[in-house]
Amino acid sequence: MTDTPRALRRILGPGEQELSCEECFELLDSYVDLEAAGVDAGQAMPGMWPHLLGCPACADEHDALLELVRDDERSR
Amino acid sequence: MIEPAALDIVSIERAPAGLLDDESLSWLEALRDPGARRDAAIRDLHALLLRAARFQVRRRRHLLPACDGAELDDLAEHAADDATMAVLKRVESYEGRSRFTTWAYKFAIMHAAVAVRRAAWQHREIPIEPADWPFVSDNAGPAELAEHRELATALRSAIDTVLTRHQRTVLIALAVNQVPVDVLAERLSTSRGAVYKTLHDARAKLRQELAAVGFLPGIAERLHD
Ligand SMILES: [Zn+2]
Repeated sequence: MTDTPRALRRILGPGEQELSCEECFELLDSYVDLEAAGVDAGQAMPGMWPHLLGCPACADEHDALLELVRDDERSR
Repeated sequence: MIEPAALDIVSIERAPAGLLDDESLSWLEALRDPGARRDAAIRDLHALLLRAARFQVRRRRHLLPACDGAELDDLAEHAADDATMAVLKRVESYEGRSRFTTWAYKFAIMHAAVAVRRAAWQHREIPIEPADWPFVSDNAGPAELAEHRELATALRSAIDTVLTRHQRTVLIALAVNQVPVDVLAERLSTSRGAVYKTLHDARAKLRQELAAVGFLPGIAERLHD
């Protein structure tokens, strides 16, 4: 069984202005700290969220960083 | 382990220390210290990054079912070494826009993620033809299904007609066969950014073509969960 929308979305991408992988890496820590602080990170850094939708590798690194930072917050 | 003496203290002294939180400031001060405090800070940094690298390796261990605990830990150790070097080399560019630990973690996570993906694909060939066109859905309603089929047919035809050979190769590998972007970049002897740019351009062409043959520009957005 295949999830058609997801498969098509992987091919067509987010269809919005997005950062490059390099720009994403450059801003990832600031973005994650904003998210962890409950700030609207997407508005502060347009282009980041569309890239994370379109790029599974950057999305995985983002998810890991956010998880790690949230773990730290909890133990602070 | 990293040899502290091999690192450039001058570059570390250029790091700003304006509006930092106490913890970040104390990391910077310790890494700037000319004496033993700096060696200790580098050891602490390595321990911090090893924790982050292990965290990432653990998250993605399902990609490496053949690796035992020692091999996984070895991957994490190497990633932590590389990340420590990367952080020490770039301390001058740390602008305090995030916590020091968040900034440092991202290097460990990236190095660990790349190492895991590389190991997972080490002995695998990169599929550049679709193993399976993933467009047959069992869970859509009849109207939705018809729309998806129509879109899928148009998409397959667009992939074969509007993309360059290179764009098609990259799109099929990344977006259909789900080869990781950095693994493909390595095989093509180019950068992750360059490969992603190719994917991005191919996607834009496909969207444009789909719009030209009558699919609403918003159709892919409606596919979002
Ligand atoms: Zn990316």
